[in-house]
Amino acid sequence: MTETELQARITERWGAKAAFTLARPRRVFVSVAVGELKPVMRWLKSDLGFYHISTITGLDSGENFEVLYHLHDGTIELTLRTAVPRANPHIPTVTDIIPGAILYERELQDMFGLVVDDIPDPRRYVLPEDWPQGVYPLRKDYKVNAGN
Amino acid sequence: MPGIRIPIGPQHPALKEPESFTFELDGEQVINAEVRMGYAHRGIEKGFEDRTFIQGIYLAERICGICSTSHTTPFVLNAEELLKLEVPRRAQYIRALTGELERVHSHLLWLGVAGHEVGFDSLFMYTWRDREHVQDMLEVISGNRVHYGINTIGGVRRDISTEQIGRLKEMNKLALARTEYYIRLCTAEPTFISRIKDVGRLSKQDALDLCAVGPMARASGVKRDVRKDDPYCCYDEMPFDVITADTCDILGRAVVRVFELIQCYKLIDFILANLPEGDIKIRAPRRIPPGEAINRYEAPRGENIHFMKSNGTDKPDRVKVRAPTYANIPATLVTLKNCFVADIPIIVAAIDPCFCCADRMIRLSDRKGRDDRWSWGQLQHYSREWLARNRRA
Amino acid sequence: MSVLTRLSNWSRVKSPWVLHFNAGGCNGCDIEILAALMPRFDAERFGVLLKATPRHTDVILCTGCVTKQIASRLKRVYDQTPDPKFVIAVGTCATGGAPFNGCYCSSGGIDKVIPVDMYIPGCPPRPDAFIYGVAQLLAKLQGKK
Repeated sequence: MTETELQARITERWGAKAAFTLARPRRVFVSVAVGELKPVMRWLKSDLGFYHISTITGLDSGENFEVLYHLHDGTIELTLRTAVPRANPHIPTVTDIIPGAILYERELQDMFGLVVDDIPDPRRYVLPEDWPQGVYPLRKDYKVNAGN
Repeated sequence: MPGIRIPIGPQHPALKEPESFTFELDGEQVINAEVRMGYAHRGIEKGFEDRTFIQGIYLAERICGICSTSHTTPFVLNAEELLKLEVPRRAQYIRALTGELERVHSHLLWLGVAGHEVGFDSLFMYTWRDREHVQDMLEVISGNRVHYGINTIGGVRRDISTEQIGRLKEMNKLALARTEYYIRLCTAEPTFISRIKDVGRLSKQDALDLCAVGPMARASGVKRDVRKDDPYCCYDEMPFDVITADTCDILGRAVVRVFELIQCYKLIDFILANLPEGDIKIRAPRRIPPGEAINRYEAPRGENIHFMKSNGTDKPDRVKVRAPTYANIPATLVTLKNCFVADIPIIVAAIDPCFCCADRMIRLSDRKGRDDRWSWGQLQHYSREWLARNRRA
Repeated sequence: MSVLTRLSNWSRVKSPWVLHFNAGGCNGCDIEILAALMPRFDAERFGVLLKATPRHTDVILCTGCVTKQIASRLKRVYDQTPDPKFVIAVGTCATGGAPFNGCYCSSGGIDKVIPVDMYIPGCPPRPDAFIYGVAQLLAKLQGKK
């Protein structure tokens, strides 16, 4: 499928709910509200063959946390982007759609303090056992101590 | 019947890194496996935000010693994309050359370690001896055996002379001749094959659902290779095949890696014969305008993905790295289920783990609450003794 | 010094048994240490033997910047190693933490956790440099006898 065909299919099915951007050949960004995240992802997998999640990136944008799901169908890298408010950082799990996303969601919880609802395994993943609770290293307000 | 939980300590003699698996056993069979990561977690993604882009290349290289170019290349590709730079073709070819040499040394390293895990130490010695030739080739190009420092934003830092090209061609021929032996080994040597055939099975559906990458996925019939699907560094101009197998076991993973070595030698020959003339880099500004870029790279272990967000300063706003071993961990836990304890070393080794990339210890435990810790060396020793007593047909 | 003590000192210097411990490094030093034990450089001809357990070793070869998660395990392995024991910090990040200084999970080098007898800097040090470092340590030990 070409990027133009992809854009046509997404716009036809989701209209204004999914904002499509073509960054360059084979790089597509689709922005959705968090409520549409799972339906869109499910449709992308079942109807368009975006079966593989490469990783999930978290971004601290001040008022919000942005979450980017990097999917691909083998050729086109489609990044599904959503945002959650900092005051209520809840995001639904996507492991029921793509089971391989589990470790990336656990890492999001560790690094940003996002709460992934219905995550099958919510345990700490990369941070050390004695890392203090409530301290999220990749948030912008976390500053590394000099000579750490 | 209650299982036994045995933990295995974070250090082991045969290379590699601290890692932590917990296995629940029922007699000799593994019922369940869990992984505890973080022993090699250094906080590098945060570290990128405090360093300039050029300093970031140096840090990215040290994410992993075995696949260092696999991290610097997508990092600089992201920076170049944000700067909208047209990198000279000669530089792209040199990057591809370094990447292929890295793939060769990594696969030979894996073959040696796999041999060691199944008790075939002669293979370990042979492959690592042959690997030294590849290290020499990398030293000819870059001046160092590990951490080549070849990439910079805008191109590469060192050129290759005609005399060096001649030497590299000779060394490539030698490496290819030596690899023919390993092909015979993986396809015809019954003792080696019996240790890895039908061990560590991962079905194609599981490989797709759990997002496995690299030789792990290709051995289960998933024909995915970033160099073909999403080409970078002029790979769309270079002739090579994507190797897959349909056995879904460790034998498949070994065969895929060994035949990939042949493809690497082909690619190296092509690059050396067709190196474009021209500059090796173009000047790049220090500050990168705001934007986001994503680049994928086919590391020896699979798909490596880097995301970069810039904000107009000389330091990145966010760099996200997902190395291939990280992606293969859920699939590994599936391959460990229902295997024998004696097969654990080779199954874990078969994903070609690079936990410093992904960021171990082994614990085996049982439901009665018994909790034993073994070192990897003890597990290997146990594995060889057990298999000698329970020889497979 | 008794005969047995002289004998054990002599065997320790002539054939040091080493434990390789990766304290959260990038693996570069680890593969160079292994390359030192492989046919081209062959440290084993000098009597260096790689052992699985700390209880059998004389020398701990430590690589990596010591992440927070591994620090307590490193200390435990050091305590398990019987005296007299020696520690070699291999690599620049084991020696001083660079380039991970400033990263939140790095302790800044092996000597922040356990005492170190010999530093072999390099990123990574070549196998020849590594063998030279080990030989220097043994010469120092021989001088102590």
